[in-house]
Parts: sequence; C-alpha cells; structure tokens
Amino acid sequence: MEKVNQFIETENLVGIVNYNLIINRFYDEWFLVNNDVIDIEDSLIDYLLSFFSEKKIDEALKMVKLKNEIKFTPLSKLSKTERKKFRLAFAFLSKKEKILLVDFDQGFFEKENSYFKQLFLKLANKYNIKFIVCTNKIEFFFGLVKKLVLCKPNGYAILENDIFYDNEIYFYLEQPKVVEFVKYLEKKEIKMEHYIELKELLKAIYRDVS
Amino acid sequence: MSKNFIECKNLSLKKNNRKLFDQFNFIFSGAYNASLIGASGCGKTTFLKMLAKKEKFIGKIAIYKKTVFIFDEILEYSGYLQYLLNIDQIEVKEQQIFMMFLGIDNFYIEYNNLSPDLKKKVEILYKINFNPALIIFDDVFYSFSEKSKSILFQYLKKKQIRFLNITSNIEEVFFADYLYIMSDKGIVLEGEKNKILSEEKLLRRLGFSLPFIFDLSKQLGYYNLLSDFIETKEELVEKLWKK
Repeated sequence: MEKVNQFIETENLVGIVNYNLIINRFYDEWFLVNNDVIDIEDSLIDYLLSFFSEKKIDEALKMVKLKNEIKFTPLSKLSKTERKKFRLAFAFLSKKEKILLVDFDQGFFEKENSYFKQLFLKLANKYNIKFIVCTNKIEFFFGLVKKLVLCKPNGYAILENDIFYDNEIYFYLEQPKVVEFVKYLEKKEIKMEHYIELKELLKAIYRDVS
Repeated sequence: MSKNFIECKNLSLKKNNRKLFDQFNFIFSGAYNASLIGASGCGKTTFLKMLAKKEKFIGKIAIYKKTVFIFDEILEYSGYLQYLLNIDQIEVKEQQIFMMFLGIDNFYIEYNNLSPDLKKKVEILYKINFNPALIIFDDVFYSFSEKSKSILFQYLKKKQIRFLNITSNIEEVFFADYLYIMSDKGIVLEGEKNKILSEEKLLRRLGFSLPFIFDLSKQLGYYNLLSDFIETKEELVEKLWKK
C-alpha cells in the first residue's frame, strides 16, 4: 500500500481498477463525485447560491455541461448523470484540490466521456488538481493515464508497461472491445501491435491485408 | 387494449418550468426485442418512470399487463436464494443457467450478503419467475460481463420473454433486433438494428458512436476491404484473412 500511496501523492491523475477493495480509504480526504441520490429538496441554483455567486455557478455548470434549465430542478430529482455533473461542478466551485471520481463514465456516451477526459487532463496538468479515477471500464483510461493501480485480493499492483494489454487486469475485469479484437488476432497468429485507437488499428489492418 | 405491448400517445411532462416531454409518442409492438439508446439526460429514465406510473404525466399510456421493470436501484429482499428464486420448482437445466448467470455454485446464499451486482442479477431472476411477457431494463448492465449479458438475453429469448433494454451503452444493441434512438427531442430514429446502425452520419451527429466491430467493418468498407456490416470478430477475421 505504501507504494500506491506514494504513487497517488506524486501523480495528478491516478486510475484505479477493481477499486472496491481500496475505495473507502479515500473518503475522508478526497471530494467524492458519484451518482448517489442527493437528499436535498432545494433546487440546484438555490442550493449553490447559498455558497457561490451566480456568475461563478454559471461558469461551473457550463464547464460540466449541465443544461441551464436544470438549475431549477430539486437536487433530489436529478438524474444519475446530472448528479455526477452537479457534484463535479460543486468540487470546482469550492476549489477542491483532490477529487475522487467513481464510475464517472457510467451513463455517458463516448463523446461525453471524451469531453470529460480532456477536462480532467487540463485541470490536472495545468491547474494541479488531483484526480483519482475509479472505474472498471478500462476504455475510460484510454488517453487518460499511462499507469494503472490494480487492486487484487492479496495486494496492489502498479501497472506501467503496455497497461491495456496486461493480462493480469483481465483476470478481474472485462476486456475493451479493441483489446479483445487484437488479442483474438494474436490467437489466430495475425501479427498486430497493441493498438487502442480504432484509426491506428484500421491503418494496420489495411497494411496487412491489402 | 392496444395490440402493441406499449403504446404512448401525446405524453407531456413539465417540471419546475422545464418541459421534459412534449407530445411524445412511442410504440413498442412486441414483435422484436428492442434497445432504446439515448444520451445522458435525454429523459430515458423519466420515460420509464412514466411507463411504470411512477411519474405523473399528461397523455395516454397503454402497456401490456404482464410487464416487469428492472430499475437501476438495489431492492431489498431477504432470505436465501434457494427460496427467493423458488429453486425447487425450477428444472435442473434452468437452475444451471441461473448459476452460470450469477456465477455461483449453490443457492444457499443469503441475499443480504451479496454484492450490488449480484443483487441486481437476483432481482432479474426473481422477476422472471413471475413469467412476464415483457421485461424493461433501465440501464442496469453497466457492470455485467459480456458473458452474463449473453446468458441472460439468450435465456429470455428461449423463454419467449420480450425485452426492451434502455441503455447508454451502444455495445448492448447487439442483443436486440430493433432500435430506438432517443434525444431530448423524443424518438429521432427507429427501425431494425442494421438499418439504424447504417445511418452512421446521423448517429454521429447526434453524439452516438457505433459498436466497435460494426464500426471497424464499416470503416474497412471505406477502404474497400469489406462490403458487409459485420457483428462478430470471428466473422470479420474470417472475411479479411480467411482464418
């Protein structure tokens, strides 16, 4: 665990998979962004106005892509994805420096997830905000992290090389479709590099078969 | 009673000055298993709550009586799975399917000791025991493995239980034959799966991606390497490399 703690201290963006075994260690220190129901009847705007200015609120809502009309919805009635966006906006407004994202990708499309990944990268690299990203959907880490913490029943591993093709992860989790496909090609003795981008894979297939 | 499994006419719903639905129409004939795909916040769950009469609305909904709903929330039951799932009344072959789906080797396990994922799976089996004609899922398969989804959908097909899977995961469309595409403007596209998936430009404009293998085969088509849409990696490799 010491090695993992050290890793989390030094990196601004940390990905953790099979995270159930580790997650409650972070609850005290990190601001939690998840989709749990919010037990507050105030509308989103009324609630936020008691802490922040309207201008700042509008900026934060825009940043997390929350529609303007949602402002008047009671917090208890927000949808799952809206709750995550709201919590993220709240974290930005309160200038939280340590944010714990749990299954953030759930319920979002690829396009929406790409937007948030870019946002997290920008905030981590430019503004020094620290994020721990916990999800078991490996695809969400594509282009986001270069190392991954894998929690195992008997300890932790920090994966550093060719992380998305490390078989150890897939003992616990489902393979992304692109990984599954490239591994299938290897099984069929078709040589292919370990791509994660469809475009790169396409070009390689073209080169191989034409 | 309509002969369709679900028929919604002119549904309107307004909350806190926010128009969530405006003259929304929807028909699910029940002739196919279907997926309804929609971006986050477009109203999928609210629509489902209206179907389940958990949300007040203006308009008409006719829904087949033998319909059950599986929402993305954990229900609290109690007792051993053996009794909860009425295992004594189920054929051995079906018991084996249940075990494979749940990833367990016996039913003498207390429901309260299960993980949230397993509780969700037990709820599905529990509701299947009521012999519904239609099951409607509300984006519940996020943490299910491909294998368990496949076991479930095959089992539903075998039992001739129709399903409507409401999801934001495009990969899940392969389990259905018919697709509805929903945006905040209502149902913007519907039809047989392959026909809808071939509307690539429109889907991308709406913010949707295509399922991985389907997308790959489509892109390879642009390189003149394939002429058909392909759904499985096995078929794709066979066509390209003859292996």
